[in-house]
Amino acid sequence: LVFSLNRIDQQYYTGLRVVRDPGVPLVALGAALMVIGLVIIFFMSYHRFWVRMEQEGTKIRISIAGRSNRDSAVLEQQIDNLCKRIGQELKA
Amino acid sequence: MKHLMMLSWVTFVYFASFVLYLLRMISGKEFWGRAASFLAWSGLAAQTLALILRWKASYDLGMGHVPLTNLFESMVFFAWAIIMIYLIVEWRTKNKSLGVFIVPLAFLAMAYASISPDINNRIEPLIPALQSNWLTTHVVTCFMGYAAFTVAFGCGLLYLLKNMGKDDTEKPSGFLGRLPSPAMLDALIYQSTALGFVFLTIGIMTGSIWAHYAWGSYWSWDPKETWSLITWLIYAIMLHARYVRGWRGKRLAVLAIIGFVCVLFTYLGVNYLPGLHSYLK
Repeated sequence: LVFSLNRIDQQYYTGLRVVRDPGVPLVALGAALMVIGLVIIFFMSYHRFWVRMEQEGTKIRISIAGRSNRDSAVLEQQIDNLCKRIGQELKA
Repeated sequence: MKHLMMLSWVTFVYFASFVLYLLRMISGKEFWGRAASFLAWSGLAAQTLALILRWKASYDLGMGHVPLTNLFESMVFFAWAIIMIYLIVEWRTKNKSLGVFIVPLAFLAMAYASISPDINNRIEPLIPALQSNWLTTHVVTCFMGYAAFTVAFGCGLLYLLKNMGKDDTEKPSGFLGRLPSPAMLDALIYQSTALGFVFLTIGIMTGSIWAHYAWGSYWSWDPKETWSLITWLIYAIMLHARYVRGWRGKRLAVLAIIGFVCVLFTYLGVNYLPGLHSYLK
């Protein structure tokens, strides 16, 4: 018994996958909202300051307080700057 | 290739800038600091020019793509972004002591790009999967994120160093005394992490939208995607720990360092794993 190979053909094929996704605009909207939210959260925190001046005899005492919904380190820095600037203004 | 010549000069300029920052640190003379900043700015300008020349060169060769497509180009862009963000921080805080820690990282990235034998610096045609308008947005946002995390890492290292010196002596010595105050370092770690986090988020999003069009699904758990998610989660934990638990200083510095290790793995480590993001060979 003899097996013989008479003919061999090479066939080409391509696998294609088609995806239809009607939700793309929604996904894009969600992504945009998330980025806007992140920007608001990280780069737009509110800061509020109070400056109080009290007369004590001949002296005036100036106290500064501040409040921020987050990022209090930056708030401290800003209050320091404010103190420095008030000091400079008073000297001048 | 003229721009390659320019890039190797830029590498030396960054090294010289680092040496001058170091001299400023040791001698305490502001002159060295000014010279170091000048060198860093001129290095950045030259590198920008070199990148534009490389971009133009790719058009002259008839391929025409942004210089952000392989490991060499991404490394060079990484160094560019590090210097860019560092110089903005320096300009805004008016404090030059961070340069000693951050500029050498940009120098290392440049040196690695030009010296490593595995890195190919030729301009090659874009493979079909990368031919998309998303390429620029995705790569630029990701690398701006990486660079911001690098700056956070530098600040974290500095914070730990400063903290170490505090235990030994009451008044910090000349070297440590010139470092920025711990409160400022803490604020810088937070700000650069927040910036990097926003960039990384946009990078992952643009990446997944692009993947939707190029590969047919938003997320396919490719190693790079998985590791970028891990990195994202670590920085998310860090920011939450700061807001919710009030973590400050040392703990944040340690998290910034852990996060940076993940960034490095996301960028370079995953190349040793099989995956879809295998352009960085």
